[in-house]
Amino acid sequence: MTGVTIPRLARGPREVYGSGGEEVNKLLAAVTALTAEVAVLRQRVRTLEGLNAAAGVIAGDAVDQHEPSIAEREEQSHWNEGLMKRVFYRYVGSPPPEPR
Amino acid sequence: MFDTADQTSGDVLLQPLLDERSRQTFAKHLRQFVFSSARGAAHRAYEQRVAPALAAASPADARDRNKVRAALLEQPEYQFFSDLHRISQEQIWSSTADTVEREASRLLQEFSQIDKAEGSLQLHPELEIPRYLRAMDTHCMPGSYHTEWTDGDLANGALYDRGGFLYAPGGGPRSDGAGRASLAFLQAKRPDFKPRRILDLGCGTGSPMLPFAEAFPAAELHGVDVGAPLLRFGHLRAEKLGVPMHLRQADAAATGYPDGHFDLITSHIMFHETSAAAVPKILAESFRLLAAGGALVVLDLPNAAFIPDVFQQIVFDGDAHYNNEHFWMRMHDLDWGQQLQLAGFAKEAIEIGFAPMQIYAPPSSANPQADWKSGRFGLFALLATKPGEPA
Repeated sequence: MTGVTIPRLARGPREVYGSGGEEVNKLLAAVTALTAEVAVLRQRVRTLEGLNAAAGVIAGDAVDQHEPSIAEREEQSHWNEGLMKRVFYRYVGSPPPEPR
Repeated sequence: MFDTADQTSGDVLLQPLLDERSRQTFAKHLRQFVFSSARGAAHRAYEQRVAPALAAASPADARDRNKVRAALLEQPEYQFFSDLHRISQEQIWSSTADTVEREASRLLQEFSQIDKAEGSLQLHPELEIPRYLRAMDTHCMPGSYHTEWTDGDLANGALYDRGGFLYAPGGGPRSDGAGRASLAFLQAKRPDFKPRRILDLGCGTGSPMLPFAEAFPAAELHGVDVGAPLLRFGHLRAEKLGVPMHLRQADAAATGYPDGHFDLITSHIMFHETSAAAVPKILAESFRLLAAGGALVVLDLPNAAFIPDVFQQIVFDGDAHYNNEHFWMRMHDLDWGQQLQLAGFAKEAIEIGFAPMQIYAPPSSANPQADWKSGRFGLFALLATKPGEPA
């Protein structure tokens, strides 16, 4: 436990852009965050593929044939929850703290 | 291709895990997308629709920054550019906060283990944080420079260091590009100047002071900032790098040092985050602190008067609207010559000009050695000398 929690939204005015209003702005933020996660995943997969190929660890269809274990499903569940909080940060993020 | 620079373990104290690093890289690239493709689309809307319509109605309106901006705000391309600008800024901080939270206790532990420091750290918890920094989170960094999330906190120093790099990777892995630019500006104007005691105002984590430490190894380096987390982080990093720095928590308008204590005072990209009321106070304090013959070097963002293109002015002003940098726009209109004279500097001792940006060129497949280059764009720079002969 670090004892440090940093809010993910800043204090201060946030302008609304466009005729779609605040809701469209939020949606663009969500789509952008989701795009970031696609980039993150791809980089992770590419890293694993590269490391595994270099080490000669896995072959052929091992990934496609894999059936996740209970521990892996738990990890996936935890990760997906984090993913959704990151993607929908403008809907579910804590409001920034009051000035000190 | 977007920028490939990154900070490695030799440069920084934070160690992002792979997913964190990928998310941070995405945020860095998103900003570059905003200022290339998205900006380009907004510029086309300006050239093809906004400028001709305004010019047809009134040529004066077509040159008026506020009128042009009002018209641009109606354009979907400009709306997308502006909103994505803000989003990219938020994601720089949120992606970095993941790493900072995970690493916070390790940083605290490393800080507590500093042994026989060569530099020093002087904190003043009773210091009143200036209103211009308390009112909102400057450049959207949650907690701004001064907030402590836990006792003895370094977190926002780490956040600022990593996020600042992602914002401007051209500033180099140690974010010392601004220091390199002001040093080059000073050395071009006064090649024989050898300061013995240097003060950097709004020093943050001390990054801009690193090039000065290298150029003037015999000089004593001091820095002031209001943000304790930045100073703690800066102190830890300076000690790890073996660069003695004396860091003090103080307002640049009232530093507490004696008269004539420094022969060089610098500030890097600080003034645009202060206020119209603070500028004259900080300049007067600088004049007081300078020894006879001492020099003040200010580096900041380009002044609107030096940017002839209206669209470009509006893009520069964007950070005032989309990035919680509310003084950015008004600083553009500041009469620096007049302000410096009011602080005590003689008119003929003031030089106002440009310092070419110093841009970090990361290692690449073609060129495995990292390098620094002079950029096309110049930062606003001024040199003001206090009258008298150096002692």
